[in-house]
Amino acid sequence: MLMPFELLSPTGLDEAVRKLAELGDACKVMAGGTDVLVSMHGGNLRPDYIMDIKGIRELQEPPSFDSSGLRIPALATHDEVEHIPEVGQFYTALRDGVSRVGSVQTRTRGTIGGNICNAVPSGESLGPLLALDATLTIYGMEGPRTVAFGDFFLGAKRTVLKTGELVTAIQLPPPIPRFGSAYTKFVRRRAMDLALLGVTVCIGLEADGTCGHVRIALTTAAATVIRAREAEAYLAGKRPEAAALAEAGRLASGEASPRSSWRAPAEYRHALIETLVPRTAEKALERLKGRETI
Amino acid sequence: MSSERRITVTVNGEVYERTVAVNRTLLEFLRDYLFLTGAKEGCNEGECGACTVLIDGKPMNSCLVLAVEADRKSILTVEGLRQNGKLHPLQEAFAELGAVQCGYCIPGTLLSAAALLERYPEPTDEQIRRGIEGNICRCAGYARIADSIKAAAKAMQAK
Repeated sequence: MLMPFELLSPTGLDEAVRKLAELGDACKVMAGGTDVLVSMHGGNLRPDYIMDIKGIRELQEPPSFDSSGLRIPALATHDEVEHIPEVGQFYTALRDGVSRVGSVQTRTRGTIGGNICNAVPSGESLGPLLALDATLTIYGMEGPRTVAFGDFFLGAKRTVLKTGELVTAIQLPPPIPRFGSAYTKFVRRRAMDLALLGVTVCIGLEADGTCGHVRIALTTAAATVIRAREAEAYLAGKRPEAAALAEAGRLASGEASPRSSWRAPAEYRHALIETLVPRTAEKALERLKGRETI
Repeated sequence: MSSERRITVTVNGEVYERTVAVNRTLLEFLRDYLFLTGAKEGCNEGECGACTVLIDGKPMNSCLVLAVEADRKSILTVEGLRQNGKLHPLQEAFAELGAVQCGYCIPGTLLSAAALLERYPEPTDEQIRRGIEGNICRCAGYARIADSIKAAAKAMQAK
């Protein structure tokens, strides 16, 4: 049985953040519960209060797509995000990511907002969101604020969220022409295993066939999800040919600082980056071919 | 001490009204309050899928759902798969093709498979594998389970 706790089920956003600010560390926010309840079953987490945020009125909006891009509510489950038509059409790396979270049973329950706020280095949606230039909407006592996805994480399990703040939505910029993206999760077992390594590549091609927009994000390659900026800068302006992609992989590997753990030694993860960056880039380019214009 | 709440849950088509402590999981509620012991406790942390039930049609690990979160929701457990006294085509196929050895994982696997066939009535091999990826079987193995799901899909299409 779970340790005793008090359950709070607010229906209004202001009420929720006021209570969170008041209770501080004694209260744990829960959305899908696929991380919170696991930690509680294991005895690692013993909160006095749990706040179930699924009943908050203001967080019930559906995803919306318009000229400013795609807005995904934080409470959308991985399964729901996977099946947003625009995610499959324009933000395919994100579809790759959310479709590889846990198992069917956890994707129907776990939320994308929870995946972000849990802030583990292996979070499946994190690399794609970083590489797709996502912005987070955060709500607290002073009202809403926005934070660029890359500025959200301070370290493993640490974020810029202050006590009494909730992530309410994720904003992706409008799609750009001649753009493709992909995410590769490298793992031993297909389901319920954490990524040994994850690579996201987004490429937008110029009219002359050279890389214009390039984003490369690495998952489980440092304490937080990171961008491989040297590799990105190297590819920009070049044709995405095999030699250039291989060099980008080498550069990206040099930018990573993965840990050795029982899952894999750091050297192996470095080697994975070298291999997976070009492979993921090829996949992004393959997808790009399907849609030269949007 | 956790507080209690009054909940109304529809399980296998029957409406139950109960008072339950907020720290009880849906799995515990089904087994200890309603005595529906089809859903099993395996790992109790969302890894094994033995506790899988359908909540409003979606497969979820009932060990990772608080009972009070099931308030006003509709739950399907393996006890509710049978219709009009007849086994579900999935159950028929599992028995027919020998997909069951110890049986501990089977209630959960059947519900994952039922949700899969709801979404993809004619699933590909890849969709079947993905559909039961969250259900661990440690004895009979997955080949016969996958074969049974395929056979059930065919049987359901034929009807």
